[in-house]
Amino acid sequence: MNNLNHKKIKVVLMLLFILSILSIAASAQDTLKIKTSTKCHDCKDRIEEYLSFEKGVKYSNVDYAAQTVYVVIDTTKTNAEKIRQAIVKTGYDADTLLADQKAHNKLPKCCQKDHGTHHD
Amino acid sequence: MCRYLYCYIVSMLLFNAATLHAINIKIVDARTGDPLPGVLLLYTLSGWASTTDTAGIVTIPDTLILPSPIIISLSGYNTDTLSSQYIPPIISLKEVISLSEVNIVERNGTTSISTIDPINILKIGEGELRKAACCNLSESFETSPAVTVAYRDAVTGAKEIQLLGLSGVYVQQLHEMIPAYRGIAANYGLVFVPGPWMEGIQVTKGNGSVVNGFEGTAGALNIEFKKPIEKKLPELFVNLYAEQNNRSEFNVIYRKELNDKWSTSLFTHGNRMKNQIDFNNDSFYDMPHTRQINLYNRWSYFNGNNLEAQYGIKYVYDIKEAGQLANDPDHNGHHGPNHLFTTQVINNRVEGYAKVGILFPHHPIKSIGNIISLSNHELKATFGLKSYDAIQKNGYYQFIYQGMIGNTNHTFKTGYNLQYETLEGKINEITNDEHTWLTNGVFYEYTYTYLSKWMLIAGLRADYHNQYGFLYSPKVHLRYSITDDVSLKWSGGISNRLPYMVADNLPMLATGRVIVRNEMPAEEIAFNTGLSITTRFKWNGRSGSFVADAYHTSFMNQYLADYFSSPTEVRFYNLNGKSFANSLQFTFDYELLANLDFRLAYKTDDVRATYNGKIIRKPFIANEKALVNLAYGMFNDHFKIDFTVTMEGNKRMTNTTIDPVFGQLPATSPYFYLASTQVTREFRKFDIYAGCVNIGNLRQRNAVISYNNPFGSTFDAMNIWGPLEGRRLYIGIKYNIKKI
Repeated sequence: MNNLNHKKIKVVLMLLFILSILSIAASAQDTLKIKTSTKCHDCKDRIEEYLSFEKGVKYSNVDYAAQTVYVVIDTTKTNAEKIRQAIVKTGYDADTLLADQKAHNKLPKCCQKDHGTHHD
Repeated sequence: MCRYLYCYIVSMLLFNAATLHAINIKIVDARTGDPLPGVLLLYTLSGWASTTDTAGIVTIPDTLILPSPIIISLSGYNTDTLSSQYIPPIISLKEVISLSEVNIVERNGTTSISTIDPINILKIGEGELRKAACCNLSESFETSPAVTVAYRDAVTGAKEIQLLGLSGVYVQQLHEMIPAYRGIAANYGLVFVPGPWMEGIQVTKGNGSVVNGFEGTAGALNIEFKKPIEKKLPELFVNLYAEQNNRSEFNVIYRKELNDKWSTSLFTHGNRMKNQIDFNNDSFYDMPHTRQINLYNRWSYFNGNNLEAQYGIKYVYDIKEAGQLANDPDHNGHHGPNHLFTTQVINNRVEGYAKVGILFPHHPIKSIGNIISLSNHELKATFGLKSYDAIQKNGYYQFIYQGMIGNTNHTFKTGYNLQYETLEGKINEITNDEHTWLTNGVFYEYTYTYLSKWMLIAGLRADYHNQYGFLYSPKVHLRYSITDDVSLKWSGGISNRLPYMVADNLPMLATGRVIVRNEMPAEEIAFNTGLSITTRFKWNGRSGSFVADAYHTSFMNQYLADYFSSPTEVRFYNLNGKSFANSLQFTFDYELLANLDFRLAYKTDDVRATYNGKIIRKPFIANEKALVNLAYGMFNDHFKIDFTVTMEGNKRMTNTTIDPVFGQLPATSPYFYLASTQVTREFRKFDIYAGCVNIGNLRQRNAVISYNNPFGSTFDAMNIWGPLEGRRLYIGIKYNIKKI
């Protein structure tokens, strides 16, 4: 049983090791600054959460009052166009691209474009 | 194992060192885009601070590679925080419009102990609960060293929690600060709280607040359930879970905001386990055949100004069947003389509560709270020829008034509690365990805050009990902050408890022992004191924490169940001599590498009591416990791997029988190790998780002593020290339907 434990621990550590190398090795990164149509903190959370699942996104920070999304990307996996498309799909504008109308209409009223910026 | 771990750590440090570098960032006004000079950047963990130059530029040294928040502030602008390892080159600050927006999020937020609260409370958040399968509350402490979960008998798989070396009956169970499972409900209560329903758990070690009652010698466990008003939760949550040994579970949580005042949630849970396995060939099922249905509907109201209310109704039905395997030709010789030894435990519970709070928008501290709760619990338990049928009804009312004296440095809570309980218990159809209890209590708790350095909480409560008379519970807590990151806490206080002879010791029915009641129970009174140090630190650019605490509990009276004086009896009497528990614990948390969290903990308990004139170790409490946990996150933490190894030390057993087949078993159990792991992958709409518990496939073999003579006097199924189930693989899915 002891031996079995030993082996298992070894396998798990090896796995962790490989995964960590993979995550460090790919580090060709770029920072994007994208204008968007955010109104409040909910908008910020919504875009950040959506982008966190997007391939190649390492970090995102939305300044909703400045209507700006900062995105750090891995340039070997994605590009600015794909990130703008992702933002559009959540229902917000991205630079010159207009928000996907269907997604935009599903947003709560207070987060839609014709509503003013608010702070709750 | 150490060698591999060492190699891994060293190579990772080398890899990581190569990626460190200093970063220049520019801070600009969000509206105009102009650079902002004089912006203060503050790194909370080390106290590092810097300001931007005239071009709005500041250099962040590489030793501050995150994640741990850097606070960015400039008067007239909203404070912002950086809490990730990736720092954008330009940060824009917004001018202040609203003041309620400071939002600091730490990555290592899955468990935490506050350096401000004088009461030692361990907060286990949802992130921590998601590290393991956590089907129910009893499985939620696998990565928390303070709490030990132990099996109580080999036939029904009942479990209890242990805190500070004291058994679960000394831990007050609360659900959102309302007293929950007690008496007969406490035995199986841990499995009535499904994991996915919980938002978090707060474990109070040692003395808590006097507000919630005279109990809680070892501490308290408060469960927060998911709130219907929480906008971040999905509208519909579905969880399906399956385990290798034929255990399956489902959870469905539906949440709806009806209008801007009312919201509601409906929680449903069902589980089933049909595992007719007898791994150790003792003719007894290793684990019971279980079915449970569990429902909870809650309502929340807030009028947007000064009135807040919560209502809820819960129902649970749980049945466990176990005992000897029927129709198994291999074990015919082992069966009892006339029939099989079978067990059945049925729990049936209904409860409802209402909480109404009145707030005073112009007085931040002032509030009035009212809580009412009612419950009815039925327990029907059969162990072979012995049975225990009981009905317990509880009523509870609490009134709290919170306010301040002069300014917010002096605050207080005062109020009144009413507790009503009736119990009617029958052993083998004969009523011999019944009571009607009525307790009226008043409390006053004063909190004094001096700058951010000192904080004092002094509380006193007095309860009048219709049977036991006056019960006094004074408690004092003191916290001194040496720095913002290092604080010392001390507490001392007296708690009371009223013993339940049968319900506290239900596993005794799974033995051949005769119950001998030498004395009627007197109230249990215990003094508890504890000292702890909580530190947060930053080392090599990463954050960590170190907590050490020491507790001592001594009982002035305790109602003891004596399994030692006679091998064929369990004798009940009040303490005549000493009974104490000492507990010492260290917990070290550190982010070893980027996204790799490491936890190391060690605990030792020394628990003794005077049985029949001799001071001996109390049974079933491990002398030592150690735990190592590694948690690694990738892809913005959407892919997580968790690995835990636990060591449990020896425990004193109660069996002193010289069995014709087994001989006399050793008085203490062996040390053992358990390892478990889990992998979680989150997608936009759903999460998948899979894991393995008890990787080493360790089982306690002779869990049922004298299994071949289950109706004889030497039969004993309560001498449990280790796992009753072997290795288990599981897989689960969580599906979130979110309103965008």
